[in-house]
Amino acid sequence: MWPITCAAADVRIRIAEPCEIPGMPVIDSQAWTADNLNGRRLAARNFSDVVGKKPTLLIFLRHLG
Amino acid sequence: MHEVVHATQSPNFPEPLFIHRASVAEAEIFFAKRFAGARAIADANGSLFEAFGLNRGTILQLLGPRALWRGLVALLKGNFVGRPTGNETQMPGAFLTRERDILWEHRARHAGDQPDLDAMMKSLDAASEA
Repeated sequence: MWPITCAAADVRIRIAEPCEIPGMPVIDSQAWTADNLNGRRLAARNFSDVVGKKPTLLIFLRHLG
Repeated sequence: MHEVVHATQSPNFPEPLFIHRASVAEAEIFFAKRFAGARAIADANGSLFEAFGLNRGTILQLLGPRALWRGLVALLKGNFVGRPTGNETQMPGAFLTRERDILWEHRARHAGDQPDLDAMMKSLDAASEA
């Protein structure tokens, strides 16, 4: 059963992802589905599993210094 | 970086995940000295930065007065600029996530713009109560 989401006006669209909370920003799918990640102390190779279910603080560093 | 390392000693602080544009080997040397337990993703081509909307900085963002002032303050605190890794024009940022949701975000306005970790913790507390 595909979840039905984005029921704007009389348009109903079937998509493969669950409905997102309106107004809540989410991680872009390009990042969420990223795989073959390399790094240190990573328990997985894909981004969604590395982030996991607990709150995570993603820190994007400008440079290492 | 120092603030985050210190803040992780708080029991409620979310686990940090660093993303950088250097190589795995360069990051290993960097984190081994500063935060041995840190998790980090090497995003050499910048695809994760791009997906989070973090672009390369303008001249003003990188070398403007606010960036230079913050650089001077950091220098006086003993935080020296490391060896160039080839992506010094990349703008930084921070995002508090819970699964795929973004609960809080900080997009640096200039190269020395640091995230407000107290504000981040308040967002986490508010999300936990919701």
